[in-house]
Amino acid sequence: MGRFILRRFAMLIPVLVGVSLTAFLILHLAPGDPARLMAGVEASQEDVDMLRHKFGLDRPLPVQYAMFVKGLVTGELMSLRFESPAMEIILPKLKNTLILACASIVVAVVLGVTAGVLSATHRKSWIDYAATILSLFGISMPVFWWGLLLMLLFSVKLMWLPSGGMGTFRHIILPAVVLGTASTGIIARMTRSSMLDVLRQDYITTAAAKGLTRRLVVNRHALRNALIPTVTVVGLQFGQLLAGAVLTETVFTWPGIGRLLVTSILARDLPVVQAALVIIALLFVFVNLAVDILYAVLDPRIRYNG
Amino acid sequence: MTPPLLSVSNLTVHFHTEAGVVRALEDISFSIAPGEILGLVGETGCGKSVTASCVMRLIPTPPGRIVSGEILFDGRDILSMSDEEVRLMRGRDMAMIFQDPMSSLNPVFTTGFQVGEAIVTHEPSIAREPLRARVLDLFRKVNIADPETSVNRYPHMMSGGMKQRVMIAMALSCGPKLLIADEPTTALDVSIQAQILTLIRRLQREEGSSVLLISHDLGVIASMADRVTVMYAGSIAETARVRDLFDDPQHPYTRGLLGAIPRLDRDQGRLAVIPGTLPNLMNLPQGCKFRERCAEALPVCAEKRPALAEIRPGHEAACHARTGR
Repeated sequence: MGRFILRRFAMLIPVLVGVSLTAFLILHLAPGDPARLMAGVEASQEDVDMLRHKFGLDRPLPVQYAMFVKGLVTGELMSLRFESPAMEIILPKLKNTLILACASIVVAVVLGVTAGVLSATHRKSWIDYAATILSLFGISMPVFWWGLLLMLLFSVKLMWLPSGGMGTFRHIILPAVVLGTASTGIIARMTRSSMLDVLRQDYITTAAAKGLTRRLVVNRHALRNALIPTVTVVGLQFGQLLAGAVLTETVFTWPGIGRLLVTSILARDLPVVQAALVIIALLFVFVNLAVDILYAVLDPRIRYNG
Repeated sequence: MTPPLLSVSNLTVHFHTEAGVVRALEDISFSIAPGEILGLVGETGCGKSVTASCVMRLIPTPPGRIVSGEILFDGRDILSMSDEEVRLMRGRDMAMIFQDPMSSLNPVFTTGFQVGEAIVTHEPSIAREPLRARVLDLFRKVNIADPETSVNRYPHMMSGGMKQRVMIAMALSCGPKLLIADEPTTALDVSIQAQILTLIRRLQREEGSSVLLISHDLGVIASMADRVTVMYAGSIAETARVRDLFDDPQHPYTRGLLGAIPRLDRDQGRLAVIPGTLPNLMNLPQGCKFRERCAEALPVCAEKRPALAEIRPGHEAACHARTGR
């Protein structure tokens, strides 16, 4: 197991190189001159040249990339907008996004797994059909539209929950539900199908033949097996949540990394954009490593040797 | 005569599928005395496993439906019991061993846990240590090597024969009165088959329990059972003591089965083959189900389905040609 984790950490290196290179090149692949964009249309050619020189944009691309990586590693990469290190801006926002993403994944797993299990155990009943329709609804609902609808109902009409910002537990409910809606649907569908598959297995009959209650047969013998494919989906969904957070955070003015990305792009604060992308990718890799470890916990047949 | 431990009377079971109604069992009747081994034999799809599942009430309903009949176990009617009563009976009063030990054990729990679970279900107050001792004891009883290590092993770490021993340990854990063994050796290597059968036989003698042994292998039945019931297409063709059945089979189907066994002790020439195939259970012919494959069919066989009738004491067959009707 230890060696497996070490190997996975070693695999981080090519992933990080790829991600940082992509994030870096976005700047140069994007049409227009970054220095000109930063300086604004009214600026004189001298001002633009000065800016270009100040941020090293006049140096060869490999040198610029090396400077970017160095800045990332040492934490000296500076934001263009705030005159402070990019990491100092990103990390607090990242924490907020993680709080939101974790809350969403909890919502999605609890609701999704419950709905999936009920669907499978009550196959072809109204519960199954209702869960299926709701899941498809959740998967297809655009985040910004769904967010506005919920806000309209719970914040404006009923005045139960705040419409935006961060602070109390009540603030997180709406954004977490909105962000987790699509994942709930996907997890419910996945759990349903793997549960149906597991319920057909011989060991389920064995468990029933021992005299176990239906509840134990389902919750102990079937669920543990059915969760293995679900865990994969949860890991992938977590990445989706980080990406989806951009919209949700904008709708609910949640001070997270998604909103930082949007404002930084609008303000041409490219170092912050690039660094944030690298951090998000890093996080995604870690989540998937956690998923692989969780497999081994759930399924004794999976042991990562060597 | 002691009353039978299990008595199944006129059991009829249908499965409602999208393609139509499958008449899986039709008017099945048999009984098992205390301490007796009854062999249930027949081709794949003849209803042996459905019969076993009905006795444990493990038939999924829907699509299955028990249309009529009665299953008396130890004087109690299984089909009219509440779900909770049936649950408490499973594992404690009757237990089951399945065909494929590879897939009958849950891959994510240790074998010791799965055997212990059967005990805890029926004795919730048992403490950890006595439970562990009981499980170890059971592992020893079924000759699992190194019980102390084996209880902590997961099914995938064991061979098929060992897994079947675990299944037997699980089935015996609460000292059931009836053991249902559904093709317990079919998925195993031939050398292991004999070991498992000997084990079942030995434990059956020690515990004095009754066994419903399901097999398509007449050799297994001959070496194990006291009495045999032959099934064909969801009905019972013949029931007799093992010796009687092998020495003097009455039903043409039983004769066909016996004729299809290769023998080394006499020159058979070509093996006798029963012509034709099993009838479609969704669209059964009128009259005797075996008629179209039978060399001795009479005109009456096309009109009336033969009922089980006694040919001689303890020997019943469902055949118009035998019962002279």
